[in-house]
Amino acid sequence: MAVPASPELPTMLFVFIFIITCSTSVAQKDEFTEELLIKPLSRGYVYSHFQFTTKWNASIHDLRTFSHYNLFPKSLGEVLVRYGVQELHLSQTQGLWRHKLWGYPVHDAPPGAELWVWFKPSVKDIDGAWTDLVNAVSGLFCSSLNFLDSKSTIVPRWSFRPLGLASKSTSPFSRSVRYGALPKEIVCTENLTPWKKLLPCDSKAGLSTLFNAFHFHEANYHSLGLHVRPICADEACTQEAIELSQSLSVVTDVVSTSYTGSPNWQIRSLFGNHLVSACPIAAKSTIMVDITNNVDQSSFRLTPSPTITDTIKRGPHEHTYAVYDVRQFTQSNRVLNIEATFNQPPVLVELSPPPIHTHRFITGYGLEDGGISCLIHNTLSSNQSILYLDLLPWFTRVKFNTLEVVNNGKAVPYKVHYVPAKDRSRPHHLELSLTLWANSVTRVHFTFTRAYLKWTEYPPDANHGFYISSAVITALVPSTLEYTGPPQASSRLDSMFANQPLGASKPRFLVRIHTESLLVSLPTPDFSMPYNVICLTCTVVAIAFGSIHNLTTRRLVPYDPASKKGLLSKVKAFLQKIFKKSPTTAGQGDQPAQVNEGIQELTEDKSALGTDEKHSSQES
Amino acid sequence: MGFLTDEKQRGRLITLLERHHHKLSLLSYIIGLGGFLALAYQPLNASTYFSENALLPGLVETELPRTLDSATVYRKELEEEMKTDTKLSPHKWIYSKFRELGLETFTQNFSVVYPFKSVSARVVAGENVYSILRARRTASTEALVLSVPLRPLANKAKTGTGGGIALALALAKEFKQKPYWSKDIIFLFTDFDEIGAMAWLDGYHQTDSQYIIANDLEGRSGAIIAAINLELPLENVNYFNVKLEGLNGQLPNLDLVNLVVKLCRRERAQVMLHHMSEDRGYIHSEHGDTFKDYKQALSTMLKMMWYQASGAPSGNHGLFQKFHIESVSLEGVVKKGQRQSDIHATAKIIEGIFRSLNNLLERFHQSFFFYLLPSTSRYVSIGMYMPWFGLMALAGLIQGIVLWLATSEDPNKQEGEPLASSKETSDATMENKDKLDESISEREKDNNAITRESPGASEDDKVQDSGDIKDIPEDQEEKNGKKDLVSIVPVILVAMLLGWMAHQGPELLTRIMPRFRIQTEDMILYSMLAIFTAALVYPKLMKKKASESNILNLNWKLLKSVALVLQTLALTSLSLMNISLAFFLTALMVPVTTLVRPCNNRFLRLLQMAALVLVSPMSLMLMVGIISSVPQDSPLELITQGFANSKELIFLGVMDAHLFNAWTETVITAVVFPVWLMFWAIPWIDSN
Repeated sequence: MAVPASPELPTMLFVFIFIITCSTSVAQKDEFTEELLIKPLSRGYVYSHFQFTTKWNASIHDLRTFSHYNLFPKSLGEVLVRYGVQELHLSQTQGLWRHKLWGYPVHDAPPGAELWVWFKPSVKDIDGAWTDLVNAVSGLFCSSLNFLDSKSTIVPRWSFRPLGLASKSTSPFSRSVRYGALPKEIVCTENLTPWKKLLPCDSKAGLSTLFNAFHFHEANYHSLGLHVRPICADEACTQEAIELSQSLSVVTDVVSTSYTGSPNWQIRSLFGNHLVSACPIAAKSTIMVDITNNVDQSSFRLTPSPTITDTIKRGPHEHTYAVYDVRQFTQSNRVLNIEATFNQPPVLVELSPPPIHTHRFITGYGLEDGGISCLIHNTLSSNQSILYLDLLPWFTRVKFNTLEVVNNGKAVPYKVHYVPAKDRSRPHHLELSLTLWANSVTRVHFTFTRAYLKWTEYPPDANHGFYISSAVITALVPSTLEYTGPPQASSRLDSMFANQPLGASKPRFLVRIHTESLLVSLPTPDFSMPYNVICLTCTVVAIAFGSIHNLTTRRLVPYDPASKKGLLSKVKAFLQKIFKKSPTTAGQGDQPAQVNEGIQELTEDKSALGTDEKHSSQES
Repeated sequence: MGFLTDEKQRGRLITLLERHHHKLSLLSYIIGLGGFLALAYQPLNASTYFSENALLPGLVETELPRTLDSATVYRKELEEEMKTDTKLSPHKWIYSKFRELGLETFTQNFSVVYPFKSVSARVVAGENVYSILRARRTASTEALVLSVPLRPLANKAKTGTGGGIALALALAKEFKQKPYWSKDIIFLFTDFDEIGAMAWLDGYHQTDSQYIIANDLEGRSGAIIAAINLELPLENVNYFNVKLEGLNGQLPNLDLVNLVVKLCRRERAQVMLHHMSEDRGYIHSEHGDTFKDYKQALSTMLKMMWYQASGAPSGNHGLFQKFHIESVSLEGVVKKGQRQSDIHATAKIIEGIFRSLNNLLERFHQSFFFYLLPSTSRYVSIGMYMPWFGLMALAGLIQGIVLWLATSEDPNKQEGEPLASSKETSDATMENKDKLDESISEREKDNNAITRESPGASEDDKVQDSGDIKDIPEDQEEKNGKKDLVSIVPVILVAMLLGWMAHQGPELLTRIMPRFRIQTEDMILYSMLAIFTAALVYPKLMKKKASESNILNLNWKLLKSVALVLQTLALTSLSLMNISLAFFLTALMVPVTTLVRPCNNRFLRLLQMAALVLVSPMSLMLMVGIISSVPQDSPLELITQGFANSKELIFLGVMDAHLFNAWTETVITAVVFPVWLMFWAIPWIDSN
């Protein structure tokens, strides 16, 4: 199964971390920048990405750092230092990023909430720290991250390497990383508010004044991200810095939301407001519009015209951005409202599918077995190694022997790391390292059996189904087709314009994509059934109780009707003698049975002995 | 509970049974049948209601414009498009229109390999078009389907579906503007009606089918919660016909049916079940109890049962149900001179249905899955019809038990013996009937064991106590009992074998002799007929052997008892899956099969045989064909048309079994036919 080539991959990722170039050499204490990237997508969709970066020139490993705060939010800093966090990556997302149509976002995020954390090597009890941390973070962001217990947490082996600075002693298979996802989590304004409060300007000034919950929640996709990591303070990497990157991504379907159906957009239509100011604390406040597909203005025209138009070459592809300096445009109480007017008739931008995109779905039907298929498309003309991570809840019992990775009908060799689930305590954790062949579709497929839950384990609305979180695919691709992420060194978007990293003859770009989350239905009992069962059992007990009680408690005693006659029967016999002058022997024989049931049983006992005997006893 | 503890009372029950079994079974059959049919009487059934509160039907205001102009525009364009080539379905047009709307649109190719070799050269290729409207706020975990079968204008046999296509486009355009969707909406256009739907569903769930080879789908959504199938012609419709019978008699959840009916009513559109109009009085409980209403309701219910019994899907919806997707078809019917519902009203109905379904938090699970409908808004649940059906089936079982008692009893035996045997049988009545079969085999084993031991034992007895004469006749009796059971085993085996042959026959025969230049329909019919007629003479063959040697002297009581128990078992288990099929079979077969017995009167024997042939699966098929071709002008036409219909019916039954995995053909050939064959042997047996 193992391929000789694939074990290289983790090492490669590891090396990548150290290829760090810094564009900013300003070595002041704190620095805050705010940026907005607007990228027109296919079919009139528009992607807006707000990027707020706080760089704090202090070491995360130095405990004295967290005794005084300037721009860095104190509430977050205290959480970080308390639980020994080295890197924290949190995303809260509503909707699904559709890679095939929209390319790659700056930060990819799965539907729902996702949290992955690298703890400092000094932390001993990582599981304990993780439990406390998720509770703290869920309090901080008003989300239900506290549900990330051992049932939905894994220790990724290859997929999630540190994104920032990591000491060389960080083992490639470190134990100090935790990953958990909540695909069911719904993101709402209550999550936006605490997230917004971490910004130095809150939403009082600057780009954050554009936050309008109404517009976000009508959008096709919106994602809140928060990433903390240690980075290099300068290009030479002599000092450490802490970077807090807060991002908010929104995808708006302009054509559908405008009443006229026109693809024209402006900042006002996207966010419900125009921009009046830049955040005064921000070192830089810029808006970038991706005009890579519109360099010759064949599709739309931007007004006002940008401060500069910049073209960069990243890998084999060129990207062109119209850059607006917000401070310059909002001087002397002017407002900035960037407007894109499409030519008539509108020619909508069509993006080409990105190098790697996926489609994951449930196969089969019924409530017994099922399968999960993940189709991974590679549109590159070269082979591409990837890492595949799948996290499944314990109640979808994965049949590991059914795991197959097929490309064009042929089995693909892969390296696997699989941790089977433990009922009610640990999820299934499947990681694959494999190579996608050029221009092909690889299918990862396995089947599972649906387990029975205990009846108290079903959530409310049990028939809704149970969510399976997205699979994560990580790759270092040589192409930047529809790639928007900044380089590794800094989360600031303008760091894209910096010089290419050293040895950039064949640069590679980290692509992490999340597939669709899935909904499976489990065999669900009829919850009104206990009532029916109680009714039924009570009835049965009521009917059967008497006779069973009789059978088990009554003692059978031999009885001779001739020897001992009760007073009542004596009287009866006497009366019978009077009224029925000539009673037959048979009639006499029947009479006592009617008087007392006990007698009947006894006579029956005797009848087994023989009828003659019975008659004789009667007669005597 | 007395008879549990009291042997005497148990014996009394048995004697009661033995004494009155004819009356009892006649009574239970008549009461059962009468009770079942009386369920359509309004005071005996209940009016429908919503169990699933989340549906909130009709709560929301419509958000469509008052006149949905885009629908009329699309309809006009589509009509022109379809007229350019009346033999083609407008796949390309639909595809491009949905692309224009900015939805993810895909096509799926599939091919159908016909199951029989004679037509295997004809591999039919088809193409489905589907488009997914992604709900804005969710991650494509759930979906609803609006399906429309594609029918070219030249296809006059079925109503056109152009209206449905235009409506789907117009609604897609409207729905796309709305932020409130919580589930993706898939607009599906299937080629060749059900075959296309099957191919698409197979592709969606990645299930394999032997005869429908479906390409993989490019795009998917999540779990499909519900599906609505529209069969609307281009013209304005007069009333809507709700179709719900699915594959193998599956029905959609009653909540979904209620939803469709309620929303049609809200738009003041007439909605019917099997084209049966109904009085308002019947629906509301005031004046629905007249005989006229009852007749109307009964015919509606029987029509529904008629379609359900076939086990064939009555539309695209029938296949969704196989995948646990609740679905109904809404057919628009054009009839001159009645009040019309225009396309705007129809659009509002569909919008209402989808917005209600959009509210659903859980899959449909609250309401009934097993029910009969005597009207669109009154229902008979499984709890109401099952007792009556049980009574009908009981008629056969009573006879079976009594015959069993009769075979195990011997007049010469002593008192103790019948009690023991009756204990066994009454236990069997208490337990599942299949236990009885076990007990038969157990008895057989016991008997074998006894006979193996008994020669030695009896010799010992003779040696020990030669004066005891009792042992010897008992021993002989046991030997007789063993002989009886052994004697009917060949009949059962032959019947089963013939059933298996009838099940496999058409395929085997077409494989063996592909040289005949006849159509597949004929091929299947003739091979079925051949097997049937061959099966008819099997008692004759067995009898001939019986005359040669004395071993195969059949005990008809035992045979009939086993056959009756088997019949009851088959019918009751069938009733849990397809009540209608079980009801019709029980109503027809049970009276004949319980009455049949060997007799010396030649005339009576022939009469019995004629009655048996009349209720044989083959003639039942012919009857169904004739009934479905009523009315015809002359009796001759009726018979020819009926014959043609039944040929078609058998062909479709076999096809459905292969293409969709329908069970009806299997049930008829491999279960009902062998049971019937066992009864067929009875009049051939010498009554002495």
